[in-house]
Amino acid sequence: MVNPILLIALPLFFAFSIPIVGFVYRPLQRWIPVVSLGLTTLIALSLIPRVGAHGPIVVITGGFPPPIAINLTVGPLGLLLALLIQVVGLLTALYLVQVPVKEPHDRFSMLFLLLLLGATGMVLTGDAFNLFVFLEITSIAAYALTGFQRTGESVEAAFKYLVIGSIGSTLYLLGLILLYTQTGTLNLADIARHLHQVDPRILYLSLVLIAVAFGVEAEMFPLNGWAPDAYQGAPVAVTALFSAVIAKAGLYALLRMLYTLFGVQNLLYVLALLGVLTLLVAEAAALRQRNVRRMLAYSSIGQMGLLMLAFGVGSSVAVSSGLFHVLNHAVFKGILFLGLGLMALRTGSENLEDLAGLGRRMPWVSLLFAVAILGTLGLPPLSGFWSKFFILYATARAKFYGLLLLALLGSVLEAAYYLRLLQVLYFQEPQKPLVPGRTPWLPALSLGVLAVLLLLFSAFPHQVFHLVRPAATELLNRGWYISKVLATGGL
Amino acid sequence: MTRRVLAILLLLILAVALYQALARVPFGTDRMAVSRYYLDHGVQDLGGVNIVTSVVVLYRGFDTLGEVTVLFLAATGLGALLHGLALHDEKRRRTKTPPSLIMRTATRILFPLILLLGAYVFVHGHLTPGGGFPGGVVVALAYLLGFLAHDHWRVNHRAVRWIEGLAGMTYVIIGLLGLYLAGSFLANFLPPGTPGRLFSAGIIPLIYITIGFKVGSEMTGLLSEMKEITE
Repeated sequence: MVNPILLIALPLFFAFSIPIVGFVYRPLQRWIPVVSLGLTTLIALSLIPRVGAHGPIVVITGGFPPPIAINLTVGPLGLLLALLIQVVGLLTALYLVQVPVKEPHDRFSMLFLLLLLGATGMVLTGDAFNLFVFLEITSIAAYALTGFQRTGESVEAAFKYLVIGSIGSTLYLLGLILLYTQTGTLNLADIARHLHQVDPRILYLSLVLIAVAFGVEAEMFPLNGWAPDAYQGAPVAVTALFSAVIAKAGLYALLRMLYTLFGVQNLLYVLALLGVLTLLVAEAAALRQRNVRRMLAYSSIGQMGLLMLAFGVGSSVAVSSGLFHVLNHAVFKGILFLGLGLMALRTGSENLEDLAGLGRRMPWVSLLFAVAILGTLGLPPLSGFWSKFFILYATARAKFYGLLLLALLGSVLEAAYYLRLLQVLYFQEPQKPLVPGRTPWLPALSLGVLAVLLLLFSAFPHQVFHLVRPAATELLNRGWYISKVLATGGL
Repeated sequence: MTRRVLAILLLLILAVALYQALARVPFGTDRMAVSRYYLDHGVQDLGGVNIVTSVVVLYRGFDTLGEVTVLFLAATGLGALLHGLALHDEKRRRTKTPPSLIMRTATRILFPLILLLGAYVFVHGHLTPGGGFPGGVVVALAYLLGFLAHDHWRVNHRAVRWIEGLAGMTYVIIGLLGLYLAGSFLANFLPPGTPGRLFSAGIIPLIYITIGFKVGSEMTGLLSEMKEITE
């Protein structure tokens, strides 16, 4: 068996090697993220049969079992998200080979690889402090990448993100310290097992601190003020990653805390409520945007709200369809942001009016763009319909009728601005000539693979539900997680 | 105005809640489930007399690799943001006092001694307080002193980045050797030796030496980049 720790160790090795490879043979440098992410994608794929058959793999480090040393818990949920991170990362890396961001390229590649490494670590680790370390890796890489263009706008966005993100990480650390004073252990499963020893007042304070901390990363209202600016300021490929996988890693951490560490199923309605608020506020803000990137950013935040609603409802159907929607949203937003990047190469701008008439002038990219929009809206044959429909169905089943109505209102708002975008793309006359040139082939390949994934999800929704069900079971079954992790030992 | 009042209110609530919680943390009672294990078994398990080091490098070595990465990221990110930046300030340049003779002479004597101290701190990490991070910072401080004392001082950026990269790769390779020789990532695959001797505690000194090189080169590179943009 391939040891899952390689999902962390290999990218680290490659990231450290980038400057040296650059000294030895410079053209090789830009392929390193592709090689690294290709290998980790294969590793993640190769782990699926084993995790499917035997449940979580508990990977020990340092030679000692948990809770003495740190462990990774590679269960169905973590592996699903890790695989998603590697695949989206690989496609984005391919895109970047031909559409590089500005100098220094070597540093960009390192930050890029470590951003994805951090997110992978967040979804795989079984240790609460290790989660903090990976949160730091992810967010520090994200701050630097946000400011990478070094324009006033992007540096301001990076600074904003840095301030809010650092406060968030500190709050997580504070909450964790409070728990540690009571349980004397840092292993997630071990803390969960000893939670009854914790004084309730300390317990609830640390719950609030930790929820706020990951709420920042998961772009939960009202903690998401940094997100639109960061999405707009970062290089477009990085924005695609933020939307498709990095926010998901934050959401995963939030859910792992709520469902497994604290086991507060009775308080999840708060998450559902905040999710709907996130959705409504973001969709209302998206309606007013003239810049397409910013519009998509708000839409992405809105989708995170929908996911929070799903996981806040917390029934088995809701969680499964939420996970399905995680996959859908990653694919849709991957296409939208990378596609927008390709369009902007030719139009020279990301403003709505400058995309006019691209439907005829860049037919393939526009077609994929349009399909991804229709998927986000949940048009029936597309996969977005299934995940969205079942989230709303589960909301109704849980008798959250008020939230259901508000979520539907959010969808109407979403339809309004997305249909306007489609109208501009296809039915308006172009105003400016395009920058001459062809669409480079590697980015086109990335978009093509994402489109194939979209079609597969749309054609086989049952199979996707079947695929995500073990992950949903893992999240909902707290006792199973605890007993699996601590089966090897425990103090 | 309302925003400020709200912010103060929020902070007050947080302060009260934290006070309430911390007041309930019992003082002096033993809730150290895992730490107790480290104290009782640390020396036999690993042969390191410095338990803190054993926890940092072996029991929780995976976190330390992460922390090394965090520092690497911070340096890389800052380097990326400073790229191509030039902060010329002619007025300050003209009025700047040059380093005095005493400063320059003392630096020439102190520079090797500080380097030696840094190396001592990270080589003896498993025996005495300190280790790779402080040792590396001490090494970088020697260079900082050089930058302050000599305007024309430069470090070879290529060499710094070679050391930085190789040290990081070595750390990962030591971890992988643990995986293949001892069954798990970053596990100790060397004999523990006699506690208290320089050659003891398995892979701890090796890891601390790589961290020392990595942190030292990283901080030196950072300092020199920040010096160069102002010139």
